[in-house]
Amino acid sequence: MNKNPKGYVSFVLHAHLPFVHHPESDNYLEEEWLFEAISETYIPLLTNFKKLEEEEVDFRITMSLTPPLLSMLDSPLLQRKYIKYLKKHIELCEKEVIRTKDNKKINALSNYYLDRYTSDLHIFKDVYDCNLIQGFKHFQDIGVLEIITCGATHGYFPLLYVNEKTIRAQIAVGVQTYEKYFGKKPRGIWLPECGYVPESDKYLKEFGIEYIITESHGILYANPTPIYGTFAPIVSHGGVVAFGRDLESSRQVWSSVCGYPGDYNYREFYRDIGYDADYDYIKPYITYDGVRVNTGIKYHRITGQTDNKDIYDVRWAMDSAEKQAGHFFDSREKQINNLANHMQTPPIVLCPYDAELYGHWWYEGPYWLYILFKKIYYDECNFKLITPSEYIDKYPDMQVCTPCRSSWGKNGYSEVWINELNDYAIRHLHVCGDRMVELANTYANETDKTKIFALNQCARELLLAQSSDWNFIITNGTMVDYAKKRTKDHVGRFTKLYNQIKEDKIDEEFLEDIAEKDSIFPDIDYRIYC
Amino acid sequence: MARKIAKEVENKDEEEKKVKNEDTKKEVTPKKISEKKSKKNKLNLSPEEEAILLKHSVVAIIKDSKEMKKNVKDKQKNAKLSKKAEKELKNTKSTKTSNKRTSETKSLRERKTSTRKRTSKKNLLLDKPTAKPMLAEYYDLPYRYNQTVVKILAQTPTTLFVYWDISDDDRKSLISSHGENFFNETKPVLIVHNITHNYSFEIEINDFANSWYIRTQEPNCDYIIELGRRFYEKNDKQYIYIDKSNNMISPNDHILFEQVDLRKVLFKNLKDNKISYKDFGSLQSIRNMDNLYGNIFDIYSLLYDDETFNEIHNPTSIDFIVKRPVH
Repeated sequence: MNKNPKGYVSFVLHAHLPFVHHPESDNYLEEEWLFEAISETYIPLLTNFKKLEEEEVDFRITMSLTPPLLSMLDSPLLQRKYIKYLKKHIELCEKEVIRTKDNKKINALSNYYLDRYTSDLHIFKDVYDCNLIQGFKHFQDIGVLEIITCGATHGYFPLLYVNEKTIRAQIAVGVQTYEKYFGKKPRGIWLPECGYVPESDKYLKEFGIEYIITESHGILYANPTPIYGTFAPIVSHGGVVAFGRDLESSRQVWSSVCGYPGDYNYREFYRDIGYDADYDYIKPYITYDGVRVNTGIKYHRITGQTDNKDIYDVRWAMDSAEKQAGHFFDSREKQINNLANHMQTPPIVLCPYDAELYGHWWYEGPYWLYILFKKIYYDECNFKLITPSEYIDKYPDMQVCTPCRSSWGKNGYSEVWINELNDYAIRHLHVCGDRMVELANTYANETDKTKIFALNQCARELLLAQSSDWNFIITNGTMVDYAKKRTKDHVGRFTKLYNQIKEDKIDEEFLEDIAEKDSIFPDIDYRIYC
Repeated sequence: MARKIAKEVENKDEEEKKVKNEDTKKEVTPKKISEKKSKKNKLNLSPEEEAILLKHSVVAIIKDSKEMKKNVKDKQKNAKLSKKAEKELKNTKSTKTSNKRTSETKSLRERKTSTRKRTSKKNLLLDKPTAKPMLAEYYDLPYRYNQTVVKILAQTPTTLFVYWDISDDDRKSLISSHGENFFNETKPVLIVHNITHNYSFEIEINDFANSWYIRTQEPNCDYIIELGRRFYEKNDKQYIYIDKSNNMISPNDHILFEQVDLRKVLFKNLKDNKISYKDFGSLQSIRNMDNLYGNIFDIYSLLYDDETFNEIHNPTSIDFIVKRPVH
């Protein structure tokens, strides 16, 4: 640990899931995205932060917890469903312990998973009282974690900004949701998909946002060119500070070919008992209609470029993680040593990732982070961990440049959300956005409670339709039918309710039904669209 | 989220088939739900019933949960689970459990069973059913909105996406102005205006499309697009204007090496909002001594190592290649 560091490293984890909430059915496979993330990412991160706290290791990390994710973590229905999910997994693990009793190595793993899921249940229910948000808030309160916000439903700004009011609303509700859970205003925002347009600056400033995170070329292609590349933040003419991703460190972690997660000792994602086990045995634990899916119980390690996968060994994997933490540490030292000679302010190396990389995709990720943070604290090194807010406070003098219109999607611009597969949806989002503004202005002084409720529900439906996740999923070809259905449902509900409001014939049963299904943002006020 | 789904692409074919199956089955359940709803209205809990539930939890929950469990399997599973939980209670105390389990997790188990007794009320609430009958819904996206509109978005620095429509009223007035055969005698065209560099070009489209992707030559320009129709045989190829789009600035796609004067770099101090100009032209380490001041390219070659600099590949987004500035 260094009191006079030559530079800084800043980890930013983006924790986001689309709002998937189905009180009408237990059969939506998509709900498992949340449960997997809780078991494999959020609980392990919280557990590792706790360990660092107990060991009195000082560290800094930044996380964006998006409003849809916060809403789901706060939902009693989804909390109950998660507990059901865990109990099923515990039952499966108990069966596995019996089934694998003749194979020592695999049986050790079966017991390991049984312990993991049992401990998850205990941590979730007893330690956190089903309230993981409070868990994260604790680390913000003690000063080691900075939580930032995101757009209300992860709406992609470069697509929506033809009607600027819709962007304003995404920011407003994002900030409002953050204040509700964390009791203060956010200083930073993770723009959905890092999608930046300069037109959003004034709205970010209006709601007190100081900084954004962008992709590398968001900074490198800025106008004028930043003197220090991505190694110092810039401030736009609109007054918004932008930090850009460091290329070298992200390549080391991210690359599926030569990056850390590809180490041969790490757990193989694609060998799961959901697919490997005997069908009749596994049937009660996959989808309700018998489709094989991942269970999270995996016994194999990557081993190499081969289909012959060896059995996973927890200790070997931890050894690899420790080695790689050392490699990352040394690389940053070297990088910062070089940079500091050419810069007048200490360089900052920004390392933003999807939170799900740590734990879900890269099972050993949270442990790697834990070891790395310990090394940075205990070993001699020329850098410290920092949050973007702290860096701004320490070094407020920065170059004025306008970041490049960019995103962190494939190819760096908007191809993922605007292409021949999903462009049909765009005009509907635009029309609904225009109609929402029309409703807000027409009924700005409405006093009838039912009408107000309907107007607020329209705002919710619009926000949910605007999720960048649906177009993303359509492009990537995974749960395409579900994504298309979500767009249709939200545009459909919005349009139906819009017509009912204008004709003054609101169907209250319909309204209550969709309000319960799309129960997000309870405090929303449709007048943000005025 | 992004990476999760990117990896799931590997199972694409399998998933698609499965999702199709899943979808058809899902379409069946809404029917069932609406049937059940009409039969037993008492299955729905009103807000008052919810409140009673919370107050007199034990009796009300057991009663309601029995009524609401339409899935017999769930019932049996829960019975199995509670039996297993009882077994577990016994097992944690016995020495039969495997020695391989660490003491930490063992004590976790014991803690769990002891808190189980204290928080029994909460457990019952947590055992509330997780699905209930609701209205069945089905939506299709509207075919049209019957309004005249032209909108552009930038897909990439050099590709614009444009969509349009002409309202029925506007169609009628065009016909009344230019004759009944107006739409047969004209072809739709888009005129793309590059406002930044003050030139335009025209693209002929067709009446089967209501959107188009347009390749442009230059990134980082302000564009506006006009929708019109042009007579292709008569009237000297007369052009009829219909509507124009929003302004759209396309993104930049390269490092603007020439764009900064190294002697006068604009800085702002966020604490006091003071503006200052800094001189980087006299940096000792600038290699290119031909000029009085160096170039950002030179600075970047010092900041970024060779591997990163010569061919910058960002694994999750773009490939971008650093272009040497032309002197």
